[in-house]
Amino acid sequence: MEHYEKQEKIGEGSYGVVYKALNRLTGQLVALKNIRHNAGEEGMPSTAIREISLLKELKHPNIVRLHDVVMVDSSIYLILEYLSMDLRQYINTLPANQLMDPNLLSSYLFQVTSAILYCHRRRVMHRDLTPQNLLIDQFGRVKVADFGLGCYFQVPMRTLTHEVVTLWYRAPEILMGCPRYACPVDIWSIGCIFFEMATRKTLFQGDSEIDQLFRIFRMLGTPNEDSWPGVSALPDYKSSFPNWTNNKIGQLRESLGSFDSSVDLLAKIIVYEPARRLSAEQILEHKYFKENANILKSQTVNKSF
Amino acid sequence: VRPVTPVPDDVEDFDRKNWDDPFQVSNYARDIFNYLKTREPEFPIIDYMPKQVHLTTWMRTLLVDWMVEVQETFELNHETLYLAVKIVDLYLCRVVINKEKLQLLGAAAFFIACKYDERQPPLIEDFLYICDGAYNHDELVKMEMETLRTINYDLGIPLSYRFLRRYARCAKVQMPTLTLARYILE
Repeated sequence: MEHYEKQEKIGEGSYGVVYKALNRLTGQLVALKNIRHNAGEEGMPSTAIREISLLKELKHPNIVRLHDVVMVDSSIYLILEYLSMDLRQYINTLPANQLMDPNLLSSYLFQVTSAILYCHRRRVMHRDLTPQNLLIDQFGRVKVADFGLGCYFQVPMRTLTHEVVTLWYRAPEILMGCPRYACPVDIWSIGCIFFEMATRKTLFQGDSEIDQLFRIFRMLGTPNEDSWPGVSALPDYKSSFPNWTNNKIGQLRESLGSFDSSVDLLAKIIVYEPARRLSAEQILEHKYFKENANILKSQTVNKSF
Repeated sequence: VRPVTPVPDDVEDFDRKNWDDPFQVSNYARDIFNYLKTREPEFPIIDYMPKQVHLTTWMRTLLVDWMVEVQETFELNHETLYLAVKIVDLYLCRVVINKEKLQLLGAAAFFIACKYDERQPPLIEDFLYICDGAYNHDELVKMEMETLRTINYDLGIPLSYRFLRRYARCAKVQMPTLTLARYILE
């Protein structure tokens, strides 16, 4: 551990502090995640056990790499790949009237979805996809980080905990108290992040669980047995919910700008019924990426004239 | 798009039938089980008994019996038990231990397996209690760390029990057959 020189605190994870540090032997910058091991009486926190185990297994260009795990006395350090910025910071540093470059946007969406497809095919859910947990570098690469809430799932699914996913990116089935949920919860988060990259606005910025739900209802219409079969049997469903009737997701066309296929893609992700939501695999095959690539190609050609 | 091996004509495609149930994860189920198969060789259990001069196969049998009891007492998932036993075996492949430490290893392995896979893992106190006070808090915490380090923190270990469930579902195996299969696995 002596050859790591702590430089600055860069964040506070679910169970410890993260520092930027220099590996003096290699000159490489790393992120050090310190697990306060003895702070709890319960030994190693389960979130840490899961995160380490998951990162040991997941090796993908768009997933942050775990270089090493070091134990010093009663402390444990995860030595992680260092990236200089997260997506939230990046969006915030854009000049006030400027949107993200559409080329970069579609590339980020593709990379994140590829990483999540890789996870889902390996029975792993992330369960906390947010712009803060997506790290970026200066080469256009984006990497999924913070698997502290990640979990291995069983086939078929068992009942899972509800204390997951930052509120704004939380899928409606979790908000409605579904005893079981699955991969589509990560997809919902990806949809929210997609919108946020395109517009710099949070799609559903609730300040409580009920406010979060009602914001979704205002956009998609209050769910009923037609739009979401089985919804009325969910634990937190109330027949007294205010009845918003319109699905306004199509009206986002203007704010999404550039490509028609953007709004089509978003409308197929932001869907109530988890089984009807696109899978990560289907997102990658959506025409948005093809159309986008073509238009961008033609733009580049035009410019070169 | 990846090629999908078709199911023979006279066999029902279990995943296709359950396609609309996201809890069956039908779209990835085959990927997942194929992936688990590729991971199996990464966790070999060698015949470690000749090396474990302080242990006998009978002691391991006693330990596993005790672990089955623990699983029942705490009402834990079967997978948790299987994982815990696997952790014990992986550890014993690598480290020679005294018989006094064997139960501590069993408890630590269970403690880890619970944190990994149970929604509400039992508390450390519970584990100390079921060991009948043979070990103290610090010993268990230390053993937990040592075990994790020895098995290199990788807990994503394919378990026979998971395959059994999958096969039983796809083949619609009846309860008595499944129970016999479980018995053989245990």
